[in-house]
Amino acid sequence: MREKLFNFIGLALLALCFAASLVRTLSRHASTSEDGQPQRITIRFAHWQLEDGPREAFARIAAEYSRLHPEVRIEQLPIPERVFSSWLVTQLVGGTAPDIIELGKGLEIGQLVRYFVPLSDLAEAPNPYNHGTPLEGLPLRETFFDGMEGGYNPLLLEYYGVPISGGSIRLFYNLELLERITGSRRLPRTSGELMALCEKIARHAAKEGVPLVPIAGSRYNAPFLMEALFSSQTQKLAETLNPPGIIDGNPVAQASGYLEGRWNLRSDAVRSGLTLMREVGRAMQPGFSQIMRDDATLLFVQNRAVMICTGSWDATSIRRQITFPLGVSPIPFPSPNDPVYGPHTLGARSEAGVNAGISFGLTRYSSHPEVAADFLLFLASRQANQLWTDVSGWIPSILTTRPGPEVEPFLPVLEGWLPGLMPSISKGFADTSRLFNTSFHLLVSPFGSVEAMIDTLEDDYPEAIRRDLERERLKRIQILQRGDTQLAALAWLARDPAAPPADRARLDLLLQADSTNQRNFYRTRFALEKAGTPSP
Amino acid sequence: MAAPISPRKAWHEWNLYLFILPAVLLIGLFCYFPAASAIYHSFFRWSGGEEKEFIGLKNFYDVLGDGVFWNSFWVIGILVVSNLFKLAPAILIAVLIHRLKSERWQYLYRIVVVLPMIVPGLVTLFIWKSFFDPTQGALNRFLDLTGLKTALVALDRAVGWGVFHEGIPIAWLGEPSLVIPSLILWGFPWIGAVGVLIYLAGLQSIGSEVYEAAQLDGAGPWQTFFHIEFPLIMTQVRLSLVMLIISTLQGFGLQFLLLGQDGGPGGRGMVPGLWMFNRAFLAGEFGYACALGLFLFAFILGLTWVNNRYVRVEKT
Repeated sequence: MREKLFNFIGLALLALCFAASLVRTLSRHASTSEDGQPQRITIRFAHWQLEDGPREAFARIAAEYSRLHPEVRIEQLPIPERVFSSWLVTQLVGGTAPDIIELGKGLEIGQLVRYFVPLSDLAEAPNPYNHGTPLEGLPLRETFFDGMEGGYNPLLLEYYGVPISGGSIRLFYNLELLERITGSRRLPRTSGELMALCEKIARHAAKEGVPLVPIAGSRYNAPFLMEALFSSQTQKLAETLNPPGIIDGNPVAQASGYLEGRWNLRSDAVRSGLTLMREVGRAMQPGFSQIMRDDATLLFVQNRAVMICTGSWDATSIRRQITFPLGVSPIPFPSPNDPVYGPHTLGARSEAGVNAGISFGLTRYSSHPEVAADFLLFLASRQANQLWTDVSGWIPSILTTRPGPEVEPFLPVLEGWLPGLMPSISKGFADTSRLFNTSFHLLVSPFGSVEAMIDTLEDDYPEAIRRDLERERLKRIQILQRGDTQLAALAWLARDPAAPPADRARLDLLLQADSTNQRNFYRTRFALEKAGTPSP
Repeated sequence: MAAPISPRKAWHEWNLYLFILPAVLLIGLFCYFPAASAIYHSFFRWSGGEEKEFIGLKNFYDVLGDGVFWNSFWVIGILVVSNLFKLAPAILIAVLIHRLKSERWQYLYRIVVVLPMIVPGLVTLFIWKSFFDPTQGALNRFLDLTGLKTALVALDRAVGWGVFHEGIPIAWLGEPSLVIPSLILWGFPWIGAVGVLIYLAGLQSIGSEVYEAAQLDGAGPWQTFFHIEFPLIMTQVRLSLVMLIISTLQGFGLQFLLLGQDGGPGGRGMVPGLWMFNRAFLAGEFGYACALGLFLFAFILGLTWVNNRYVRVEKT
C-alpha cells in the first residue's frame, strides 16, 4: 500500500512538472504570436548584455516605444554570452531568429551577408525620432559620435548595425582600502606610480597577514591592462611599421613587419613591453590566467583586491555589489620621463578612435521588417539613447545626449597618442594568438621570465604569422570576389545616362571602398611574397 | 535468435519495412548526413560559409604534418590509461552494494549513488573549476588545512619538480606540469552512477549457488571478487571500456571549460577534439577540422577493432 502511495506521488510530481512545462511553452508561443489583439505585432530582439543595467534600460526603451506605438510589443531576449554564438548559429540556420540581434559574437562575414539586412539606406536618411532635437534632419550616421562606424562593415562596404553605446577601459579602485593602506585616495597617474602602489599593497598584505592582492586579474580582465601597457612601449615602433601616410593599426602591417625583420621579439621596445606586462602580472593573484571574469570581480567586490581593470560596461554591476566608495581612472601609462619605460613611449593613448558598440542588426527572418527597422531607428534616437545612458549607466553613442555623473569618468579621453602594437599581433590571428596564450604562463609565473617566454615563442612565431597572413589573404580574396558582382551590376546600371544619381553615388562609394579592400589584399600578398611564401 | 527468412519472403512483406522507415530516415538525416558532409568538406578549403574551394588531399597532407594534432594523442593516451584505473572505484562500490545483506540498504545506497546524476554535467564542471581556483578554491584550502601542502613542498624540494612552493598558491590549471594531473583528478572519487548500475546489473545475474559453492570451498571476500565476481562481469567491464575510450577520444568539453580553447598553459591539455574545435571556430578552417575528424574516426575505429578482436570474454 505504502509502495503504491510512493509510486503515485512520484507519478503525480512528474505529471505536474510536465503540465507546468506545457503551459509555459504554450503561453510563450501565444505571447510571441499576434496575441489575441488583431493588430498587435511582436518584435523580438536578442542580446548578450546580462550585466546589471542594460536589461532594465532595454525594458524602459521597449515600454516607451510601445507607448508611442500601442500596436507593437517589443520582447527582449537576453542570452548568456557563453552560449550566444551557438544559439545564434542555431537560430539563423533554423530560420527562427528574432527580428533584431546584437551583432559581433560568433558571426562570420558570410552569415552576416546571408542573414542580415544592410542598413545603409537607413543610415543615409534622417531619423524621424530626432524631430525637435538638434539632430533633426541629419542623416542617421551623422548622429553618432563615431559616424556610425561601429555598425559599418568595411569588408562588405555596408552598414549592418545600429550601435547604441560607447565603451572604455578603466582601472577601478577600492578607495576605502586605498586610503587605509596609503593614507590618501590619490589615484596613480603613471605606470610607475601604479607599480609603486602595488608594491605598497603587497607589503601591507604580507605584514598584516591578510589575503589581499593589488590587482584582481582573470583571463578576461588581465589582457585589458597588460595589452595597454605593452602597447605603450611599442608606440614608436608602430609608427615605423605603418606605410607612409597611413596610420591604421592594421595587424597586417605588424605581422609583415615581423616577417620582414623590422621587429622581433627581442627588439628593445617589445622586450620592454613584455617586462612591463610581467611586472603588472606579478601584481595580480597567482594563477589569475586560469580564472574567469566573475571570479576576479568577486575578489574585488569582497575587499580582497584593491584594484581591477575592466570595461565601463561592468561599472553598474560593480557599483551595485560594493559597499565601499569606488574610484575610477584611465589606465596609467608610463611617463615619457620614466627612466626605464619612458624611452619607448610617446604618452597616454588617445581613445578617439574607439567606435560605438552594442550594435543591433535586422535579420532577414523578420515578419515585420518595416516595424523592426522603425524600432531600430527609435533605439538610435536621442530620446532612447538618453534613456539608455540614464538607466544602464553606460556610455551613450548619440551626439548631444547628456551622460550622468556616474558615466562621466568613462567618457573617452580624446587627447593622447596612437596605440602601439598588440602583444599577440591580433586576436583574429588564430595561430599567433594560440602560441602567445600558451606561453603566457612563462611571462607571469613567479619563476618565469621574459627571456623564457621569448625563447619559447621565437622558433614557431614566424611560421604562425605566415599561416595567419595566408588565411587573411584568402579571406580578402573572397571579399573582393563577393564585391565584384555588386560593382559590375552597379557599373552596368550607371552607364545609362538616365540612371538615378543615387546609383552613381553608391557606385562611387563602393569603388572607393573596394580600392581599400584591394589595398589590404595586396599588402597581405606582398608581405607574404616578401617573406618567401609564394602566392598562387 | 530469429531464424533467417528467404529474400523472396522478405520482399513479399515489403510493407512491414515502412514501420522502420521513419527511424531510418531520422538516423540518416541526423547521424549519417553530418558524417557524410564532413567527409565531403574535408576535401575543401572551407570557412563554414557558402564559398569553398576544392583542394583534394591537401587537408590530409597537412594533418600528417600537424605536430599539435599528433601530440594531442599523447594527452589522450594518458587520460585513457588513467580512466582505466578510474573504473576501479565504480566496480568496488557495485560489489560492496551487491554484498549488502539488506535489500533496503542496497536500494538506499543505489539512490545515493544515482542522485548526483540530477546535477547537469556542466554544473559539475564549473564546481570543479572553482575547486581548482588558486586563491579561493576548496582544493588548495584543504591542502593547507591538512598540512599536505607542506608535504608536497618538501617532496618537490627532494625531487626537484619546481611546481610546489611555500607561500605560493598552487595554480592547478595555470601551471603546465599540473594540467594533466588536474584533468586526471577531476571527478574524484570517480564513482560514476551509470557504471555502478551497469556492474550491479551484472553482479545480480550471478546465481547464489556460485557464491555458495565458493563459500564451501573456503574462498574469502577477495578471492570471491577476483575469481568469481570480476570474471563474470567482464562483459559489462568491456562495454564500459569501449564507451570510456570512445568518449575520452572524442571528448573535449572538460578541457575546453577548464583550460580554454588553447588547451591551457603550454597547450598541455590539448586533445584531438579540442584541436578540431580550435581549427574550426578560431582559425575558421572548417574543411581542415573535418579532415582532423576523419583521422580521429579512423583511429577510434582501429582501437575498437583491436578491442573486439583481442579483448575476449571467456564465458565459463
